[in-house]
Amino acid sequence: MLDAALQRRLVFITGKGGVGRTAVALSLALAAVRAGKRTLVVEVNPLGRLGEYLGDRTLTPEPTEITPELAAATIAPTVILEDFLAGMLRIRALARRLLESNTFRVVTAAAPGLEDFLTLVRIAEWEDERVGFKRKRHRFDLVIVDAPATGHSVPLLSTPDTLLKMLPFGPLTSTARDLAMLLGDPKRAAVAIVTRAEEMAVNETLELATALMRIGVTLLPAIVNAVDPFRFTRPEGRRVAAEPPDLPPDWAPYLGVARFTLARQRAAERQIRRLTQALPEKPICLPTVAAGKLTLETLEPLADALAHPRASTSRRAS
Amino acid sequence: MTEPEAQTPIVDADQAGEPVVDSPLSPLLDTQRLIVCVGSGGVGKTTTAAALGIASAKRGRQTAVLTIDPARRLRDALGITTLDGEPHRVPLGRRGVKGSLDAMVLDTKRTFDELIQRYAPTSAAAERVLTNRIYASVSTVLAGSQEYMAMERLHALAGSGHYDLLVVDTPPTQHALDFLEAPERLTALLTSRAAAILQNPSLILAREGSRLAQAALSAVLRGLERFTGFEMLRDVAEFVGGLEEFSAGFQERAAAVAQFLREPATSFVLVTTAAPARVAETLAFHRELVRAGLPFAGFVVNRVLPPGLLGDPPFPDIERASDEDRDLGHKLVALQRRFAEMVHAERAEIDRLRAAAPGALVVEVPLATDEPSSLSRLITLSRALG
Repeated sequence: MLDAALQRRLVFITGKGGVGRTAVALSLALAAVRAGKRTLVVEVNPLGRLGEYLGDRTLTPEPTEITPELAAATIAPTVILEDFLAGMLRIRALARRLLESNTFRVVTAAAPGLEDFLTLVRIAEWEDERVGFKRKRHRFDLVIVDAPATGHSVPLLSTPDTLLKMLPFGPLTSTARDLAMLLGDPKRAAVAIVTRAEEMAVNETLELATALMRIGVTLLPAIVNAVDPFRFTRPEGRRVAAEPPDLPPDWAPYLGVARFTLARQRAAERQIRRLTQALPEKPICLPTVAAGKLTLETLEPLADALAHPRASTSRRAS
Repeated sequence: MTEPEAQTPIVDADQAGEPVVDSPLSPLLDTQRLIVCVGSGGVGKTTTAAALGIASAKRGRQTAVLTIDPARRLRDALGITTLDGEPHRVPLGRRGVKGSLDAMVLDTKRTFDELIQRYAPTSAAAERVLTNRIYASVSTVLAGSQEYMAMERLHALAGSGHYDLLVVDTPPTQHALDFLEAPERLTALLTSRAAAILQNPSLILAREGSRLAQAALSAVLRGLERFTGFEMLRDVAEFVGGLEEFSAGFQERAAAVAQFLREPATSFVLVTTAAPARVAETLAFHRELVRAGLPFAGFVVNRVLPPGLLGDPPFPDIERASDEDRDLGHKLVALQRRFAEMVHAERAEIDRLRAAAPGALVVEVPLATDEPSSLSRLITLSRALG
């Protein structure tokens, strides 16, 4: 997974709401930094928690240096619209006034895809940004996008194509074409779906994978987040599940928790197996992190798991 | 409620008619006319709304559950085959279910269409808006319109007289009360002199009356037109102008919906899990509800670890076990300790909820080993709720 991601320059992380997209995006960034990549992690959600995980920082649309190798930024649609308008108006105060107008809000709502388009333009600029002598060096080796949840990811990633169909000619066409080429280039861009070992999350993942393949983006292996690191081996599972249990008789007080955990483990393994069978590549499992505040330190185990996936539990399901 | 799920056979849908067990929410299900489920994404809000609906039907009431965007399996479980906003009868089995349950998915655009037809002064005026090219995108994209339409639909359903109780789950929002502010936002738009402004866009920047500002604005508007590729501004002007004719009706309606949400027969239920981050969000939602003067009834805490599984002491000494048993024994001891810590942490979070809202109902729904995506699982779940 990590190698596949590191070969690209732009990786989108998407998935169902609440599965831990931001934590996974940041863990992937950590793993990339460890592999020597200068990495930018971008959050496309004005109310996201990326800044919180990075030690309660306020992120801005301009990349903030977290460490010399890691930068973070946030893209808020209103800010990006304001920038767009300011670029046209040359006077920011006017742009802001315009954005405050109710009427103008209707106008932008009526131009669906405008915000998505501007978001992608910004991301592509970072992907292509060059610094140093004769601008030969990329500013970032890898740009990781903490993308919107499932429902919004497909429209976001298909914006260039939609636009090209809508406006085959015009001033934005060449930009849209460049974006479409970037997103469709398997050498440069790829998408990873984050999920959980739960039935509804897996259903949504399989639907999303189909939709993403249809729009022609390259899929990385799915990432199953928050898999319980505790595991009964198959023989252990059989002993706990047997009726009567194949355990010393005085161990009965442990049985309630053991059987409950085993049943949850088996249900999770069933879901991981569904992903393995339906997707072209085996999913990567990430362990649950300790409860409490997420920080770069608490995400280390996830970065480890991305760099060195254990032989997945999926094949050993009982 | 705390049986190890591993051994629980999946019940048949026919068992819905078995004896009704009371939960702290039962009185709400017997007396209220509207229950609004609010909570962060991924806590099981839609599932809870569906299970409350089933519980209400079992208690003999004609019930409807309106959901915003259910996962496909849940839709299948509820027998919702199309997303057309029509009620679908949920097959709760034959024996002993005195009430009934209809499920429906919100169709934002259709509800908006109906609203426009109802308040248009003439059918020609309605037609002008409905056939407007940008109407379709505005009616679904405009911030809060989905939430507002959910409330609008509820109000219409309540007025239909078909149902004793309506249960609704709200869209996943960062702010619990977005749906409450939506009517205001919509009417603000209508009273914003929008039509006048669009006929003479320079009015937006009236205070920047300079020639420079006017020139700059025209540049922006031209740029936006280039982006959308059609005569968008004229369409917007027509659309907003058309809507303005209905503004009085809209505002009256919005006031009626706001009133409906504050009636004594309405209850807000906050859905959460016992995870610390979710509890913090839930407490923030709770403060918002209280501040807005909405009738908050209680919390449904989903996916709670069943404390009953912890077992009774004495816990045996694993070290005396045979060599072949000892590894597994150590694993069981570690598992037991971890489970106890997790239960302890969850109890602390649930206590935080109780402390923040003294007197509020708190219903815990135990974590199951499988997901409540089939009707039989929903029926099992409904037992915990009423």
